[in-house]
Amino acid sequence: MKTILTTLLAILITGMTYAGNYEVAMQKALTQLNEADSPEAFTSTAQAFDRIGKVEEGEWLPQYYAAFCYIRAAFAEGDVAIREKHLNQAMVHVEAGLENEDNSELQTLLGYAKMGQITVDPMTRGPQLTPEVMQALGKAIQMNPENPRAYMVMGQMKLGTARFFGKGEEEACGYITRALELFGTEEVPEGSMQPAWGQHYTTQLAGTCTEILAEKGQ
Amino acid sequence: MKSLYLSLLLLLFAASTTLAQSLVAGTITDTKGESLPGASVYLQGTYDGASTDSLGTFGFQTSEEGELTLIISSIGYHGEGQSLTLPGNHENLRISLKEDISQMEEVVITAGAYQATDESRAVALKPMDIVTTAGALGDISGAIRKLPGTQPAADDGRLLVRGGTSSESRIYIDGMSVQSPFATKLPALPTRGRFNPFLFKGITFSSGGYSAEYGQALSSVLILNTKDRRAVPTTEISLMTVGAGAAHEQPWKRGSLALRADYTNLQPYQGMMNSERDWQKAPRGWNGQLSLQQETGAHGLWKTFAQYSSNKLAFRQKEPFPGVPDALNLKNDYFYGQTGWSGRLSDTWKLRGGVSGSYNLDDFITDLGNRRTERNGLHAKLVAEHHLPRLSLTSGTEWLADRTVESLSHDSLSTSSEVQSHTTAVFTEAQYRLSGSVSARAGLRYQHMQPSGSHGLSPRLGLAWQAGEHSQLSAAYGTFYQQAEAEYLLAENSLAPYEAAHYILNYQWNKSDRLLRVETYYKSYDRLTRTLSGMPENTGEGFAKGAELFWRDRETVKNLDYWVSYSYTDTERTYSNFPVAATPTFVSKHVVSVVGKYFVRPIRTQFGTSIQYASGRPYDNPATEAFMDGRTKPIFTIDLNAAHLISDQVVLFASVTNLLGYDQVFGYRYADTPGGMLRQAIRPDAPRFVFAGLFITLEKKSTEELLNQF
Repeated sequence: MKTILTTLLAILITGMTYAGNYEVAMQKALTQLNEADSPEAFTSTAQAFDRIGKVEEGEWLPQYYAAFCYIRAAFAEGDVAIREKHLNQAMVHVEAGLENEDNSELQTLLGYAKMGQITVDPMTRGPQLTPEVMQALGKAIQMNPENPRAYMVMGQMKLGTARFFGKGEEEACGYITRALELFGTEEVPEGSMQPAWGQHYTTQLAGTCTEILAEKGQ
Repeated sequence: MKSLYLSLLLLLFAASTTLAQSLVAGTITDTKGESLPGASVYLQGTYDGASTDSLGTFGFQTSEEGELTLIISSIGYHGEGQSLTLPGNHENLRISLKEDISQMEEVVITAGAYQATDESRAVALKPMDIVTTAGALGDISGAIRKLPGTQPAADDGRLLVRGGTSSESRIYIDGMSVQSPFATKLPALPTRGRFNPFLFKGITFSSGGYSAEYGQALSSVLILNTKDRRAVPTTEISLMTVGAGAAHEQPWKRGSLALRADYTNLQPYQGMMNSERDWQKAPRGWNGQLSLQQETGAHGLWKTFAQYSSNKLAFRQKEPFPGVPDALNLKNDYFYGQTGWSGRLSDTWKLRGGVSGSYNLDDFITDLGNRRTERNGLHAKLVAEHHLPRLSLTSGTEWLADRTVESLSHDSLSTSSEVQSHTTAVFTEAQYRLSGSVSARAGLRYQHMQPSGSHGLSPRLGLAWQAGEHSQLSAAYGTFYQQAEAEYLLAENSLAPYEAAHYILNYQWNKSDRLLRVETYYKSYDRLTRTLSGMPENTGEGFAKGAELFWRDRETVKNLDYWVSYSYTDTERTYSNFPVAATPTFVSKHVVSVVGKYFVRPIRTQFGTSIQYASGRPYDNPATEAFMDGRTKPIFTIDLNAAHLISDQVVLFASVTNLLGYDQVFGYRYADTPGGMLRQAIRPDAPRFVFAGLFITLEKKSTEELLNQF
């Protein structure tokens, strides 16, 4: 009786500490992500998530954040050849994440990464990749119509196109406004590992929108 | 009992707090001792690890115990594992990583080859360049003719590479050989490629020294790869001054179907222009196209492509000339189809294969007699590729067949003749990475050719050396065989195949968006067909040598993209009716092309220009003693185009060739008449060609319904 109890207890406790470790490691990497401010910092954070992902093969979150870090590194990078390498890494992790779970957040990153690939060579890649970005983001919105990040990236993508053609800003800004509303209602519990980024940048985009629409109104 | 739990818990708590923390730290370098920043260092099977900083150092705490493996991974290096016993002192580790050649960017053998692809940034051309090059008029070979090694020859329209005739180039689509890839060629009138440039995502133009996979081409190969399927259903409409077209592509989960139809008619245009000929029926025709793609299994793809076109034209010469038909009426029907599969069998094995076939019928009716030529071609090919980290092996076999039936009739006389030729070939090629900076390629091709019954063994070699961070040297050598043209085989089917050997040396410098290429070559020809005695015989020979330069710059001026190419060609041959070795009439010794594209962002318009200079071309004046000693005056042309993006779905395009109306003379024809020697200059049909078109792309918006949500 005693032995059974002891064993049970031991299993329970080791199991708990193990689950705790995943959470601790993720939180540590998330803190590192919050402090990252350079392409190098983002890539080393991506590697931290990648290490967790290697152990937790069934989890989508480590892959998601590894991809997100590479995308951030790419957008912070001036050299297009290096940017391209970061984006390729991001795609590897998005795809690994999608193998575990197909959800709105991963589809958003898929669209985000492809949008980055367009910036490497807009003239030749735009026509092929734009529909693919739209498809991923459309799917992201469909899977979770309350996901502010899906609206944000869609708004950012559409705003770029609209500014180039000098029309269609209203539609793009509609997405950004919607993203901002959703950020306002999004509830992120303290200590949650779920994606919660994007509000700050959306506010900036909304500012740009206000300027453009004011200019157009004149 | 209670006390037991308590003590157990206490024990566990105590154990966890007193767990030994070890520090694992050190430096990661490469084999030369240079520090490696950005490497990931971790204990296998745990979360514990760190990335190296800019000095290659790392450090992390771990509470793991026992025998663990420390893994170091960095892109471009072999992953290294080291055994550690924990807890323990591991604060001063020094680990060096070996370069992993298989992960490094391959040193590509660039000798002879120009690649146009979207996948890599460091290429000479982009598929988009084909349609945006001024003067190319949406014709693939039109854009290729602005590259070094090619002759502009605006009276031909096909590819004339390094002294070679138009029959010495072969075109491949997804690896399959395309027979009759150009519309019917008429004397003094340029022809066009039959394939829409928008079909292709990757284009490789090789002006020599190509792989053992390609045979039956003495001078060059143009390798076209069709686009992948689109992600969303797309409809395209084009309205042009010379016709209209519509296309639709419908994708599904793992495949897609694309259909396209075009109608062209130059009648309204010719009606407004003053041309050299009196067009009774300006060129007109229908073109239909089908592409079908389907993914199979985990790593396979079927691609099927078919095209049918039917064209007509009729004209009378305004200035009749002896030996040239006064009136000509042509009807052409063309069908081309291919189907093929490519895929991965395992991580290291790939297989691809397919069949293609063509049917081409030309019906000429002239006042000098009628000619009906039917030409059928077949190609079947199977290739296996084996990819190892440093070595790639490609082996395959192919079969090419060609059948030509020609019927001639004049008054009540009529004759008909037929010839068939077959080529069976096997080839194998190895590409080996000797080191991070040297790649070598060696291939061998054996072919058996009918009806002559000849055999040929062609070695192919290539070597590339990355001399510096931005520069590379490469060299290529190969021997090439090609069956004589059907027109000669019809008269004499025992003609042996032609032979050529290429020697190429190339230097390339590439830094971000600037590219410089310098290339020099020597080419020898043997067993070319001569017709002096009336019957064709294989006694011709020749050579070509030259130097070429290509400079492209997309960086110096914002929104400006330009390239400059120069070719020097020194070539002579005895072939056709040449009594002595001479330079063929289509060769200009010096050719300079400048192509520029400037994007004016505020008006969303790209302006393009192409300026080309070609030194005088040879012609023979029968009145002089020497053969081919005449030289036309140089040809100078300026072409302009503009593409305006009305929206992301509508593009307005306009172009004009030979803006200044420079009088182009391609050569002269002579005729000995009782009244004395007659001479006539060969000129383009019209000095300029003006074109405008509206291109509309309609994509079904998968997100449209989602918009209604807010």
